[in-house]
Amino acid sequence: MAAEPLVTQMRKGVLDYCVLALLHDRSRYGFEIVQTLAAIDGMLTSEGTIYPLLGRLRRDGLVQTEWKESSGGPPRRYYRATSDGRRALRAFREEWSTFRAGVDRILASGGPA
Amino acid sequence: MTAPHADQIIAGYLARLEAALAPLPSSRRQELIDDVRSHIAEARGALADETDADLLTIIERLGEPSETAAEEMAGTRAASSTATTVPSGGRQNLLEILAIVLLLVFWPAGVVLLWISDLWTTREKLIGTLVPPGGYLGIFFFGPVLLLTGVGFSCGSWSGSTTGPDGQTVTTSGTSCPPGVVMALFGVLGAIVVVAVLVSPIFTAVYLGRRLKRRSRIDSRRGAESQPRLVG
Repeated sequence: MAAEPLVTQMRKGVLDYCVLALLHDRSRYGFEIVQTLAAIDGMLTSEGTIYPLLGRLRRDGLVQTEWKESSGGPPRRYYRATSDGRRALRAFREEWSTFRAGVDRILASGGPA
Repeated sequence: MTAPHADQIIAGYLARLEAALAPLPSSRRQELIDDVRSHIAEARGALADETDADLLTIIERLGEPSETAAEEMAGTRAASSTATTVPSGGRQNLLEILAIVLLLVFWPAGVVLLWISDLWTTREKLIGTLVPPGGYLGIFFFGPVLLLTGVGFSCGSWSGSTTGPDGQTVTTSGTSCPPGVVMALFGVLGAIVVVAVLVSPIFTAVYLGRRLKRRSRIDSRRGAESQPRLVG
């Protein structure tokens, strides 16, 4: 029970970039993004919150959208990372590996050697 | 099979979401509600045989409307320093409306705007482009040409030979139109085609407009906001 707010805190900074990573190489529609994230533990507790996030990424120019026909159902809105989005993801990747290495080091030994 | 209380469950959730989003501009609120509505439709589509419990699970996984609203407001606060959010939706719809109007009056510019927009699918854009090709400009350009070829085809040259009673071969040839009945039939058919072609740009415009309305970011139902819409 106490673990959930912690995960929520940690997720806050990284979820945008996880979504950008999903949309880096191919476009996906909203429900597909939700399903992919929900399959990973702790990534998405309230699925509805992904839609404001996607809207924000679009307004920030990090993803672009396109309506595509679906077989049998109504058209779906597909999202895909823009060049700005891919650039933001690249910057995050570098920061993330440095950050994660630092945290791991501290957690393992109680501080830098 | 549809769950017995599917409509009530969905409408209830969407109404709560709408209420939680009340402080937002209507365009943003409507867009988010449409996103969540299609999420529910997708989730239901994945079920073989839904029950009320299935729908409650879908709703539960979506989370509290207040959470979704908080996430949306957080985005608004960050963005509000640069611009208010109200016009962005309106401006983008203006592009689509302009596209539809231009498709009717000046097709080349309309087509460019049509393909720039991200609110139509490729199929819809193809229909907008090709029904009819060139719009009214195309009709007035190619229409006379087609009409003339049509007349030329039906009144083409003919030739034939018959063997006369005395064993002589009589060859007849010439250029004339087919008999009156056939001509009249061609006339009626031609008139139907001409009317269909003349009306088709308007049909296309209406079609694009209706598709646009469904994913429009402008909420035109100002007076009826508290009334939840059911998933059809």
